[in-house]
Amino acid sequence: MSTQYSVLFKQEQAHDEDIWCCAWGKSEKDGTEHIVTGSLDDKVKCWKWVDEQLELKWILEGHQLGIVSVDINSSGTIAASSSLDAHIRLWDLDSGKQLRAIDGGTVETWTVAFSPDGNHIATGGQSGQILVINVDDGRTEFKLDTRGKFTLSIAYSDNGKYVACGAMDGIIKVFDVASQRLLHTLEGHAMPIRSLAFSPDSHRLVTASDDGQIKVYDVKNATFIQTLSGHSSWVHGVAFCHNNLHFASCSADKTVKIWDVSSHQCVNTFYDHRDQVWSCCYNNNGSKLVSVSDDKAIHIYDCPI
Amino acid sequence: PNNNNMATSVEIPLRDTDEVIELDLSQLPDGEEVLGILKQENTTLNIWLTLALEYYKQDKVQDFVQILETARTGANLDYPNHEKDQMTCLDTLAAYYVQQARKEKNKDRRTEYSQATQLYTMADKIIMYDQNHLLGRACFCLLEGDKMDQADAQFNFVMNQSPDNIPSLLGKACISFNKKDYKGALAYYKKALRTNPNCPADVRLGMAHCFYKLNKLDRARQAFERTLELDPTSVGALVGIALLDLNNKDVESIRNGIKLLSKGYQIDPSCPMVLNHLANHFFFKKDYEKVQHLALHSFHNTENEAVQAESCYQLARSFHIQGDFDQAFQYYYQATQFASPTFVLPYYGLGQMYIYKGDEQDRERAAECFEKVLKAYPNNYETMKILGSIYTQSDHPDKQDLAKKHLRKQGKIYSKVTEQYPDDVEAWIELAQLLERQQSTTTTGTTDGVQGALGAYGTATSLVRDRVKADVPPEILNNIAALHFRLGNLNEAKKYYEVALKRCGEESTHDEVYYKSILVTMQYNLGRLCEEMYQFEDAVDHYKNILRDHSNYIDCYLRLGCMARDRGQIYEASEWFKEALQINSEHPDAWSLIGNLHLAKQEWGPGQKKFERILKHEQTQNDAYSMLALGNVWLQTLHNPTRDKEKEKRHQDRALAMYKQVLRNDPKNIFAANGIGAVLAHKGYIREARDIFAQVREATADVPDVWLNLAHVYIEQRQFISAVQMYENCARKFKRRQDPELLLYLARAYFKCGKYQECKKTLLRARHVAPHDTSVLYNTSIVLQQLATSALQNEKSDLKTVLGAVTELELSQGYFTYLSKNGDRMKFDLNQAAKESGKCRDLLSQAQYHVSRARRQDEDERKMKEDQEREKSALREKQLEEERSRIRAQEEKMRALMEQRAQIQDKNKASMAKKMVEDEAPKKKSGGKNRKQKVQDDFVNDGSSSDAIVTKKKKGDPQGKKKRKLKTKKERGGDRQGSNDESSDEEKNPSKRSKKFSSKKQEQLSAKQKGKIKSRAYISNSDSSLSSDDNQPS
Repeated sequence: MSTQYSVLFKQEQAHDEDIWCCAWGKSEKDGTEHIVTGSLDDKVKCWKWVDEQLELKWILEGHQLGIVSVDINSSGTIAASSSLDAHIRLWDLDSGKQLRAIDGGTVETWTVAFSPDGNHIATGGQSGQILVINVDDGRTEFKLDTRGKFTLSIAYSDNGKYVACGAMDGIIKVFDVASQRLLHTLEGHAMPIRSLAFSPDSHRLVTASDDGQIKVYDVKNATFIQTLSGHSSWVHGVAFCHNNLHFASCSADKTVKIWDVSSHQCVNTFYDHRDQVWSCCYNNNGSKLVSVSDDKAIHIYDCPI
Repeated sequence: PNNNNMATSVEIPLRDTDEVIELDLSQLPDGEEVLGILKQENTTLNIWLTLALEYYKQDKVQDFVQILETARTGANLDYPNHEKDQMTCLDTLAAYYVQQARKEKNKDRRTEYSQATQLYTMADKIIMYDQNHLLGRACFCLLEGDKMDQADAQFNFVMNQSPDNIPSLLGKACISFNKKDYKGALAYYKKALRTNPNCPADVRLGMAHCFYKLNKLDRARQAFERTLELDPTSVGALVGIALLDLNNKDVESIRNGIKLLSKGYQIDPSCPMVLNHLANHFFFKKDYEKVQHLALHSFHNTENEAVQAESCYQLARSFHIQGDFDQAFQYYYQATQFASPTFVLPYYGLGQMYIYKGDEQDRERAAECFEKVLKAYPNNYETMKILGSIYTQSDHPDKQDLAKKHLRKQGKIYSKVTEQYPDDVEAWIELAQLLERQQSTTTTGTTDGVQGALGAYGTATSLVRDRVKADVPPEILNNIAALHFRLGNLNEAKKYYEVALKRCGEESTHDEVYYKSILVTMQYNLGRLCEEMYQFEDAVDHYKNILRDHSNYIDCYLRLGCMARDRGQIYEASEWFKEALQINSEHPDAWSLIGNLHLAKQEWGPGQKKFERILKHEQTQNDAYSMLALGNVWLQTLHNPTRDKEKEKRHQDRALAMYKQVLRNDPKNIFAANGIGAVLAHKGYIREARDIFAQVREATADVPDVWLNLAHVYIEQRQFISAVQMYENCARKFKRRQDPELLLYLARAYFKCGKYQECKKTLLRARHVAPHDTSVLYNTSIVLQQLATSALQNEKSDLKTVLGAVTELELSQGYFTYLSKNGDRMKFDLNQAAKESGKCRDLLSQAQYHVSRARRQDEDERKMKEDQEREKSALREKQLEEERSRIRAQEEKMRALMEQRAQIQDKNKASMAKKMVEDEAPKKKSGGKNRKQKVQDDFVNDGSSSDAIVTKKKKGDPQGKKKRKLKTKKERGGDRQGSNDESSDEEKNPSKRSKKFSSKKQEQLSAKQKGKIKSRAYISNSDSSLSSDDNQPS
């Protein structure tokens, strides 16, 4: 285990165009670690993380118009991707085969998020409604209506109880999945929420906004805890670390920052990307972090835990 | 003319008799009585004169005058040589009047001068060239002051007759002295002394003054002392020695000097010189009452302006030091009026008084005063410093040139000062402040000024710390922090602010009110710094802290509002701005900010009202910002196309009027110029608009709007490549790469020049950022349709491309259908969307034909490829076989050789070595495989180098640029040609791309495998072809 933050590996020219999304999964079966990235070049790429470097495993083709969001289920076997072509595609990471393509309707897919049990995918878009789609048959099982603006970001809590979503106008809504009821509306931001993340223990919710700020909420009581500022531009992504103590954020200011949840301080800033960073994600034990950027590079960082 | 014998009596002959009346001189009767006798007895003039002089000697001046006055007309002139006596009478009387006049200090009341003049004129008519008469006249001229040359002429005349005439010599000496010809004066004095060694002490005094002026101080002292020996009451000599003593500047000498002055005062309590010097002495003794008394006395006892100036100066500075600045000002001023050009001390004082008065004009006058001092003493340090300070403080918004001149001049002064006195903390600080200002007034300035200022402050602080052994004042720390802030050293800045705040807290025991006030400023600065460092929470804390104690600190409300605004919290922002208005209901910034909030929400009316309100207020009626905002509102209305031409023209004119007004007030306002350019562009004067934008862009590179406008104009002029570059530069420079508006502009430019792929990519980026934006979606759909159409129509499109085109058409149709229902009417025509959707449907129905064509083609190609592949592998097999057989043959040959070698083992070593070489040579040749491998490598390289060209093009390599320019020129010729050109380009693109793709992969892998076994390359090759095969069905 390393004791300080550092860049472990850089994959330059990982895609032909801007890279917009990434996910990190570990196969329950054989422990293989997969990183999936999606880019404006219409490709989803699956990389294997071995010997502290990335090995390209699959180029998953089929999408058009750029991949907006990717996610990997908790067992580490299936990746979901959504693109500006309004389709969601499911990919088998072992075989590199497409499992299913789901037509999300013209403007109704954006972020995709697996439920912790891996049975569902949540997505949303223009109407503000969140569609919960069954992975097995691709049908929409139910909808959660935010009655709000375009839903940019969606996150499941690790205990499977909540779904949180952030909208174009900065409004954040938290639903109770079991009852499909709206639990909380959080109005701390007034600009687009491009990412949000629950802590692994499901107690905290962090939100990233174009206002350059990150806010931390207590999930259960929907109480606001702290605003964190430090990014000089839009915050594009947030990701929680396995240890519940840290989370990472990435921004249009080309940086990736690591924050301490209890002290609300930024504990490290990576200045390594040469263009805006769209997405970041921890590995399953929180010792590594991946980030992707418009500079077409994938960076892997070492994180002390 | 009183060279009578020492007679004790005068005899007055009685008329017609031989009797006389004898008057005892020691018992002269009443003047009237004598006068009666003289008249009665028709006495001759000579006796009148004798008597008159006798009265004069006995100080009976009135009788003297009366007798002489009567004698002029009433005396008996009937005796020989009476003219001589007549002259004496007139000259004596005149001389008396002159003397009287001299006693009168007020020039205007010197009526005696005219009387004297009259008398001399009368005398002129009798014997013009009488020596005594001439001398008297000359003296009179001298006294009158402005007739020095006339006097000189008279003295010369006398000296021509009698070269040793002492009065003439003395007169000439006096004239020479006044003309600053001290050597000449000395010569005359010496001649007089030689002629008459017993001449009066005053001659010695004159010589002493000459020596003094010639800076022969020892000889001056000797002369003064000799004067005193001859005439112990000579005040002039006393003052002279005193001055010499005082200038020695040691305690003993000064005491001595003062003693002499006091003696002089006892002898002549009205001698202005003595008085002034004593006043000077008492000034240093801090006995200001005495100073005033003496100086005033002196002032009234002299007509010499230089001495008066001195007296005024003494008075002024005694008032000055006692704090009575009004009186001090008056006397300094008076002193400057009397003072000779070399006596600049009063200007120094006057300058100080002007500074004390403190308003703008006074500061300028003060500067003038100090400039005068500096002219006389070009290296005077104090004056330079004060001038520096004045220029630092002077603030001429309208007279920037003057200010710049001042700054330059001042810069020179300070560099001089700091050179001369490198330990002067104050000077370093002033220099630092000056450099700070220099920076802010010069628009083209680099960071040099700031760096210089920082350096100067650095020297100052280390001086304070090391020499003065004191803590650095918080004010300076604050300034240093601010400079670091300006340089972008934010962490440094924060450090200094924090120390400054701490120091402030420590100092606050000395002057609580003052330090609290600067503490607030520093905290505000720190707040601004935190904002700059994106530590918004800390910034909010600082501002709110300030407001807790100082609820009137408007800037804090404004910053809090601005921060809320930037977070998108418009309601909160307007609340803060309104708070600010609670403190000051006419605060123009607060109203402007509220106005801007309205404008951002496109609430033109309410926004307009806020700015109009600012302009209505008297103090802000020329507020450029508000006028620009109003101009922009009218300009904004032009962006929405309208059919009402009248209204359009009206709005154009209104916008124009606003911008013009701003330019009238400030001809250098670039925003107004930009606005005028925009209106011109709207009116269709594209070239003129471009000229304006270009000029504005030259003036400043910091306004993104100008870049955008220039790019827009390029589009209007069909210079699309330039437009694209301009948009991209703007996005890069102003960090607006994710601004959907800019991305839309850029996409439009790409579309216009037929670069649909780039256009598509740009629009997708915009969509990624703003997926809800319907105009982005509309444009995306258009370009997808366009791309798909050309891909389908292109006979050479491969199957993958065609299938992709079909999907994109389907997507495009879906989007258009969606937009025709859910679009924003303000942004595009919904019916048009529906029409486009129909067009897509039509295209799709034709697509099947293209798909089958492509499929056929694809199958053919695949078949061909397979055949080729088969042939290739057969060939390879054959080659391998050949190779194998050759190796086999060689091995056999080797074996044969080995056997041979064994046979001739006993032969000498030299021949063996020769053979070894021969052995190796064929080995090298046999590396046919290697060579082939090399060829393949070259291929790869070739591919990658072509790839390099492609990427270079993207980056805007100059060569690439040239090519494109040619293309646009073609386009101008005719659209059709252009589009043909494009489509052929399109056609090339996909194939290039696939090539690029595969070559890249090889490159990657070969790079990875560098140094490993070469045959792995084959494996990876097949690997990649496998995966691409895999993908095709999906």
